[in-house]
Amino acid sequence: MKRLRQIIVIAIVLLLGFFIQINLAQFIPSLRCVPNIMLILVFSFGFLRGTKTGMAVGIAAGLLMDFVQGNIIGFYVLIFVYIGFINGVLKRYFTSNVILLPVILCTVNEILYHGAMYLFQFREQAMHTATEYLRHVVIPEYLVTLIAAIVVYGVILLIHRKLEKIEKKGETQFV
Amino acid sequence: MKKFKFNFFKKPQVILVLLTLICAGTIWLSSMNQSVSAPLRTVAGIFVVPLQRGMNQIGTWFAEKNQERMSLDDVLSQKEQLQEQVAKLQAEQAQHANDNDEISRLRQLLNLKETYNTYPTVGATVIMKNSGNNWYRKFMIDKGTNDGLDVDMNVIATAGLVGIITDIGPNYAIVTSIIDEESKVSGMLRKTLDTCIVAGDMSAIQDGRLRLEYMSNNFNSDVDNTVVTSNVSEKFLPGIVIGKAVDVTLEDNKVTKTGYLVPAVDFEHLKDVLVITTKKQTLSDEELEKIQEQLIEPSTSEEEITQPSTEAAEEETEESTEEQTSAEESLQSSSETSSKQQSSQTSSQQSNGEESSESPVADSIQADFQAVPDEE
Repeated sequence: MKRLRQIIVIAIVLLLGFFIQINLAQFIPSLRCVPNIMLILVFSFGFLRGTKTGMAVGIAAGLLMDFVQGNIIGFYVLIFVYIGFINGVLKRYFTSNVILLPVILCTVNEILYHGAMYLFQFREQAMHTATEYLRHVVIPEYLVTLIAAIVVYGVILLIHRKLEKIEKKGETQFV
Repeated sequence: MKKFKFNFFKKPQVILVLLTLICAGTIWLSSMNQSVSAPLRTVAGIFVVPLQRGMNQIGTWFAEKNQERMSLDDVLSQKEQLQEQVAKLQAEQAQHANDNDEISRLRQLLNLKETYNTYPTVGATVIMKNSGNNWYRKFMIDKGTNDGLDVDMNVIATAGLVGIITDIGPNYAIVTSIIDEESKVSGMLRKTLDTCIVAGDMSAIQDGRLRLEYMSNNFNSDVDNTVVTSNVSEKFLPGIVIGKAVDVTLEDNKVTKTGYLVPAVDFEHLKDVLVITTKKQTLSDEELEKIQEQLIEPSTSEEEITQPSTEAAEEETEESTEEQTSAEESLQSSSETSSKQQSSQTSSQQSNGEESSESPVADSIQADFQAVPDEE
């Protein structure tokens, strides 16, 4: 029951984030690039709720992105699963109360994500255009994602605390 | 022993390794064969596409409202400016009236037959403009295999080429647009048939342009800079307008040329597209030849071929007319015809030539015909 509630809540948040991400450019036409909300969701859940949840969210987010991008199934799943896992491991070394945390997490994960994207794209002229990618893709996306991360991480922190509260309540009732 | 096994598979590290292997497998399988991931596409198509369709409608409504508000502000601020301009333009108009005759004549020359109008198309609506990933320029349309679409079908808008379908589900298709980094379209100049490759470029697209690569040595965009899809392309049908070549310059080393292309399609405001249901791969050689003929002689309209036959029919019998017209067609399409045929047909060509000298291509062919008997 507890687990079901958690799954439903996370699924709703994930779908909401997904639709915001792919439609944001339409609502704000002046936006050149969109924040990577799926990435924020994966690392937030991974960090707050541990490796297993992180990986599960990673699979779902990856499947959604794979579906939208087409062609190859499993590429984004792989990237997001690893990001979920790494952030779940990071949980042991940081506390979740620092206000700077979303900024640090966002930076680390953007580097991981774009590093993976760059390495596995198999682009012909990838070596020559590294600085171009940095200028036109990575940095704009990083800045937008950073702003989004602070908001989204806050929302997920609230959801996480609420879930934890309910879980603890349930435990005390049963005991 | 049993308990150990159970715990072993619950460890996150083990799950990670397993997932990595599974993902590697699916990546390998789906890159080999698209049908492997068909179930996922079907399921996702059922759940995601209708939702996205609704979201898209809300989005368009918002965008339209926004546009209205912005345009109202613009109109008010521009009103005074425009009134001044009207006065200025009225003065200029008087001058331009003189040039009108020349312009209308030149327009007739350029009134080329747009061959892609002959391709069968299916209309579709863009339901997702951005794939949520800044690395790619892909979008989703609301038609899929249920509507007879397939991977590798060309997507056009009324103005020109948009992209190609790279992924498809039952009720949706993902189109990779020509402005995507990975997109490479083999193109050529419509008039001079000089070839080039139109490639998406991350920095050039910031100015709304694409990059031209591998341009042929005598690439000359002065006559007509319209670039169309070339007939050597593997996946793109020939004769679809891509855009206009600009800034073609010879580099300092005097060997390579650089250039840019302004796409004919407005990718920012893409809403409705047409999908050509003919695929290049399945096109028969005869059909291709037909299209190529139309391309090479874009402005030799049907009038030219039909006109002589109708005129001749008045004088001669039906049998001889057919012979003549077929001979004339072969003359116009191929420049390597024998001199015998030419001399026998020159008289009729010359008589018709005056009436049908609408295109420069036809002009040059007629000039050839007239030159041959003089030499003999």
